Amino acid sequence: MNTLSELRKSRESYYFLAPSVIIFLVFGLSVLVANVVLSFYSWSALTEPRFIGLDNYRRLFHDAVFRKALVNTLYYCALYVVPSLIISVLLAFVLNKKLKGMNLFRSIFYLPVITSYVIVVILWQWIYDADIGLLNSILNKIGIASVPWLLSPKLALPSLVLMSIWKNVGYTIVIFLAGFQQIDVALHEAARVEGATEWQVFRHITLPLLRPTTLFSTVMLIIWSFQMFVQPYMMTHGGPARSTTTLVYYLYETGFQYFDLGYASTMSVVMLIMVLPIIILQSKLLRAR
Amino acid sequence: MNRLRKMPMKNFWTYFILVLLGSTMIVPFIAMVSQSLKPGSQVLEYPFRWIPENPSMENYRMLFKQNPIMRWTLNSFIVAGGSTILQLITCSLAAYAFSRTSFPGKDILFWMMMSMLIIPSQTTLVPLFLLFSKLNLTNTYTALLLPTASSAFGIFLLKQFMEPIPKDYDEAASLDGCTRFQFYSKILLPMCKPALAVLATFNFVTQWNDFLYPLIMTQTRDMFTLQIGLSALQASGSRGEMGGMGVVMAGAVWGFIPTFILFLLLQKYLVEGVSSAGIKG
Repeated sequence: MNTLSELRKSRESYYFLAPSVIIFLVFGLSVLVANVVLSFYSWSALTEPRFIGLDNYRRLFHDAVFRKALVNTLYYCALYVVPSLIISVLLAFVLNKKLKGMNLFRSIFYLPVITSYVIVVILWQWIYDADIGLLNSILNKIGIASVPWLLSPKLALPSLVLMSIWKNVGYTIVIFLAGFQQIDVALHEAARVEGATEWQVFRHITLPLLRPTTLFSTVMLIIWSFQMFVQPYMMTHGGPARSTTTLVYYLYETGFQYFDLGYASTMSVVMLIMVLPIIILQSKLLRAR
Repeated sequence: MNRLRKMPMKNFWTYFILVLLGSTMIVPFIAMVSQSLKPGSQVLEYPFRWIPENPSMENYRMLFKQNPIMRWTLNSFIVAGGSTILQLITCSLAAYAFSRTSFPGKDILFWMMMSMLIIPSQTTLVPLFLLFSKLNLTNTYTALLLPTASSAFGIFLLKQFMEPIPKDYDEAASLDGCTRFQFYSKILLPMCKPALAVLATFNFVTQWNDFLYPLIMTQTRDMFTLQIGLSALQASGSRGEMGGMGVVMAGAVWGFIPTFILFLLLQKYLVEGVSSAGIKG
């Protein structure tokens, strides 16, 4: 009797779960499995799919463009993550002060975050323009010669990094502000009474207590770096000289411009294996809550 | 004494830094509006002129004449709004089951869904595209909507909110003859309004701004979302077609307005969505 009603009750739970589980099975699990299967096939838009075993993986291993894309993505990640963290922790520290107008400033830093990448890119494409751009116009005014931002293979990727920091710093500021809110104010006051300067309090009390927040933000920033796509797609087409070809951009080019679908799937699998440790870390961080 | 004299100076530097960095956040947007109001080739003038010599709405007229921009905007509303409504339903149902009922396989199912749904969407593009191609559903709202009809973030957020609500409510409702679905829809959901608002705002903005997925899923101009339309506009604008950069800037301003309004009205919920993902790490 009892088990029967319990059985009925848990069957009810499955009804509540059904919509999400179906979506998860069809658009999560099955798609993921299909992706792995596809990676063993040669398949372009015109030909029938043909099983080729590990050939795609061998090709990927020797693919100079893929290697370049991987290096670019890692380079982007290296240039992007640490400055983002430093800027946002310092700005969050300043914005956390109980002073007039702080709410307004918080909003201002959040404005680029909600603006879509497409609009940000349209804006910055012009800002970075070598001949008529806003940035060079301002630089010229203070006596600095024009810089070929997006046209130089050396500067193009760092320019994209700068733009991304500008766009996303408000997001990490909000995460750090939430982190600051979790810190016990009494600790700060105790340290001040002991005669610690504001910098000492920040360095020796606030920062160590922010470690979980910092870890979470770092993981977020790394995942974003690996997903970077709109900037090279709209601004540079991966150039000049492949200097801004990122992993996702190369994946898009292979799969949806050359319709080399099997090979693009192989790239997805390899990408997924590369970011898997980070994803596992992220879900551990969520689980720890 | 010494401390009192130092205070205003310290605040001066705080404000100095904030005004300096804050203006780098706003100035590009002001320049965008200024550019969009410059007719013809004035937009190409160098050095940059902050206030247009003879401002006109010419670029906006061209924008609306040459592009189905209202259709793109409508498409974006359908996709972002539809996905949000679907998520509110599916995620709250699942969150109820995960937070307030027990059943075999609960923990495994929960963590499988969490880990599966946080896999970067970029890595499943090819099979998703093939799936909808086989079903002849590319270039439709169905393809744009379905994969985002539920989300790990939504289930997680709502579950966290529902868990602390005392179980006494469930028991009292059940004694009064409430079925579980009635309890969920009549009692639990109204209690969860703040969390539902956070999820709705957060997801709407995310879907509104999404780019790569609608890029591969839409093929004809009439099915473009606003973001895809604007990127196509920018591509033709940089080739000097369709009135060039002034029109592209007008398009950017048009695309900026809805998110800006949403930002002014619902900033609280947006910020809460971000910080609830980040708190405690």
